[in-house]
Amino acid sequence: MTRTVDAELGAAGVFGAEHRRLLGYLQRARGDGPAPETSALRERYTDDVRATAVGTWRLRMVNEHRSSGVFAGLHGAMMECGSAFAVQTTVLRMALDEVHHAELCGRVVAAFGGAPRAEAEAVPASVPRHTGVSPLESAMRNALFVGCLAETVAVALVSHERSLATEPLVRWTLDQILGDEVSHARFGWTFVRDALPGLGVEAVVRTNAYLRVAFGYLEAAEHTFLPVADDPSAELAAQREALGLCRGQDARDLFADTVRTVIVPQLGELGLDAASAWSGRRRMAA
Amino acid sequence: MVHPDAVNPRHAEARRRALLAAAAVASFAAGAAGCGAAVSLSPGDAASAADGAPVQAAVDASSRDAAADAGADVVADAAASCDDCALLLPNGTLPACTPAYLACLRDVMTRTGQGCTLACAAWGPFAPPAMDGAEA
Repeated sequence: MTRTVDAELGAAGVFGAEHRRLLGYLQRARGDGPAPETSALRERYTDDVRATAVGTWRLRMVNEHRSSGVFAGLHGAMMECGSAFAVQTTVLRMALDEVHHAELCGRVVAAFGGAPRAEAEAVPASVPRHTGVSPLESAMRNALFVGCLAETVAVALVSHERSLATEPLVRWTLDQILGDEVSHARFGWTFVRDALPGLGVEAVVRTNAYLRVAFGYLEAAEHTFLPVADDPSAELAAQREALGLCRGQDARDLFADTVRTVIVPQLGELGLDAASAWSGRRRMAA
Repeated sequence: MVHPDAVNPRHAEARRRALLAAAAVASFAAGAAGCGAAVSLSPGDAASAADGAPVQAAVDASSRDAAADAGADVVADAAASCDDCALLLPNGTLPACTPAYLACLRDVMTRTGQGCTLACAAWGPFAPPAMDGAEA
């Protein structure tokens, strides 16, 4: 059993209008400009490159849509721990951001001639309720994984792709997504920085233990979606880069460097033994 | 082995900026955001924060330069061997992201050595694991 992810479903109805109204608020607040013209995009690339773009951006659409469920689940965790309304509003906005990202990715799929539609796993993602710890510590763990780990890596990956992308629609899309990923990552770092000191020494020990699991899980998840293949020709690689399609090994290296040179030291600043957690991470199958 | 990014100035610069961007968000010191406290990550604040990241200020100029580098000529990809993936992607109705789909892609990539229809799609966030490593 699967569920349908369709970026165009219901766009013309009442909910579509409300959806556009809400996104309009966010886009005006950020000063986003209109999307670039895409009419000639299909003719500019070979069928092979176009097919790669369609497949990859469609998978991104699915993954971004799934991520909305993660933030929706995080909202429940934030309610349970008694967070400020402002925190809850921010988390809900991040859930909306991810739906918007899915829509943006679907727009790129359509621009290349593909259908912005796919079938995905039936049960959407959420967040765990960590047993044996307080609601605040449970929420903090989830914010740590989502913001300090996954979204901080996402900032590096999207920034890298944005720097290399030259196709205007792709760059415009990556601009929108990168700005949101930055705020998502900062939310995690800010929340953990604020919550961890009040949880006590034992919570730090437990969080160090959790980090071993979290790092191993993150590595497996990243590698699943960062496939490594033989190098294409230089010219083909350039075409792919123009469309925001990274080289798998480069992305894996960037992921590892982001963990080692950014995440581990910054978690160390918060009093966590992230270096030991990374080196002793629990290896999991991708 | 020399890392490819180390010998390609554009890649090296993109990589440097990516790490700088990640460092900027990780070292971000905002006001209290925890439970029972106020937070000020409004959309406007978030946009300002993004614009203020060191990496952002330097991106546009070199990317415009990089536009000239994008290959306009067509290079035939040996993507015919990716037909197995194509069969799984009939007009968007295929089970993208399901274990079966990913297993098929991995199988095709192993046999052909190609990225096939799957490039980087690891933006996340993924669902956090429980302590036993299981998904929620």
